[in-house]
Amino acid sequence: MLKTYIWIAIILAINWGGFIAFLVRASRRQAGRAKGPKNSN
Amino acid sequence: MSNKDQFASRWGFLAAAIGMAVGTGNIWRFPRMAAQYGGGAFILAYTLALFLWSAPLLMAEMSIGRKTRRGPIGGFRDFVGRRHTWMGAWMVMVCMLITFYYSVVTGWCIKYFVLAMRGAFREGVDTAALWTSFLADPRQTIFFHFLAIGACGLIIYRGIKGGVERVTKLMVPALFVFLIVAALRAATLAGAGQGLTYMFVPDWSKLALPATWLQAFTQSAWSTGAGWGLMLTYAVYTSRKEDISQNCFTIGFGDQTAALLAGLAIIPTIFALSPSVEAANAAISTNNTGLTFISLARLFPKMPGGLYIAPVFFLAMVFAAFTSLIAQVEVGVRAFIDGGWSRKKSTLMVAGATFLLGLPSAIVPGVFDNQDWVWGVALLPSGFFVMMAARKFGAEKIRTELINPSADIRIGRWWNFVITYVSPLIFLFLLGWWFYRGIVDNPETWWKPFSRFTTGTIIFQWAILLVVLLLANRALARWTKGTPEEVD
Repeated sequence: MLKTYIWIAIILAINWGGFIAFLVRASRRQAGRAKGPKNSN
Repeated sequence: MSNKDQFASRWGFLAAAIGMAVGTGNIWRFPRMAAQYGGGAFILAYTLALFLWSAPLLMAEMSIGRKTRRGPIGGFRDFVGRRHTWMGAWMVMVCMLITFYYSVVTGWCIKYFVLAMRGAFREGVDTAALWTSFLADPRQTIFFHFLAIGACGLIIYRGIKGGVERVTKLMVPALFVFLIVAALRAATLAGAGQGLTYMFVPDWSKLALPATWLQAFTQSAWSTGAGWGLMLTYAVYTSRKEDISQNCFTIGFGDQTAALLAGLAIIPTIFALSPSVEAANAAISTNNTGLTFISLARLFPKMPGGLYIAPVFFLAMVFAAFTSLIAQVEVGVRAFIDGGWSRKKSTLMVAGATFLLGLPSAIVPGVFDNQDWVWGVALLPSGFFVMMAARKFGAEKIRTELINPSADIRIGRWWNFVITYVSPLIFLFLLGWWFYRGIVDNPETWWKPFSRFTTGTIIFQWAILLVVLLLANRALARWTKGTPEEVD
């Protein structure tokens, strides 16, 4: 089972890690926009 | 364009776009494909497909929609030239032809959610008979088809901000929560380990099979919605400052995350609760509907807490199907809005047409199978047309003038190479292999145009659509009214 868990960790790190990383970047940018001047959008 | 017809925030757009991408295919097709084609090896091929096909195409689509402020028909006219308007119309027509039967699928999911809520999946229930008796009762299939397209129409009728964004912002996070609940339950079942091994440990030998790559790339193309015209249409309602590259990768990875969650929920369940490995393999080797509505429905009563997990699972199916249906109907609605119609009139027209033209698929399962067979593959040429549009406009120009100026993550020259050479070659391989298998596997019958699953019926129906659109090209180019609108 150790081999299975290692592969689960690798695959989920790539896919879920990628998703979470992009979501975090998106939220930072959204927060940056919200702090900007009201007419900036 | 009124404020009602814009996404109010990036989260709203991301929720709608992830909802667009995550559909029933993530839940009932991806786990089967992964388990059959080498587990982790398939998943890695599928991840590669995100970079070589889906994300580059999504970026090209979003660039067209954001620049032209039009759906695919007007978008292709303004982006590539009047002579190529038919390509955008092909995308709209293929998307709508899929929508006609996808509304029926959404209805099936609603029906099974209702059954799960009523506790219908009890020990000893013949789920195969339940499924076939449901399909054989047109009053039920039509009613649930009507319910699906009626609810979808009501949401789109209320506009992007007040309808689509509001609903998808609730449904998409809920869908992820439901999938996590189902995955946790499955992964903690006694005997789930065998399913996890089947799903995740790579069988590298499968990478030597062309079928593995074909399934990985087509799964990615269908699942992310790349080439459907959906992203192009949603991009019309975004700000010019919206980050194309970051959004497209977020959507691609979000789609894969949902697919893996579905795999974690389904494959361990099947291996843990099936009476034998042979029975588990048989369940995985069946088709999409057989896996979901027969095999899984049969296993829920055997699962501790299955009475509660079944409604959660089928509600996830409803949300996945419904948020994709919304995006598909919007493609048709946008085509009419571009033609000068109001959103309300366009919605009534498209929802009404979807109901009427979906009836044959709701009533006759053979028609459903044929339409799914013919138009599912037609998404590959749709994607190819987007690549051609990018090539004609100039990949470098798209990258430097449309993608990178608003990008948090700047895209390098690799994108030009992929969209100009790699993706078209992949398209030729995928379509060529699909037709080759269709002919080689059925040497006597492949040419038959009126059979359910032949290469002949694909060529026949595509040819009719192509001829009609080429003849109507001038009229289609005149169809889009007005000047491009700015949303800033």
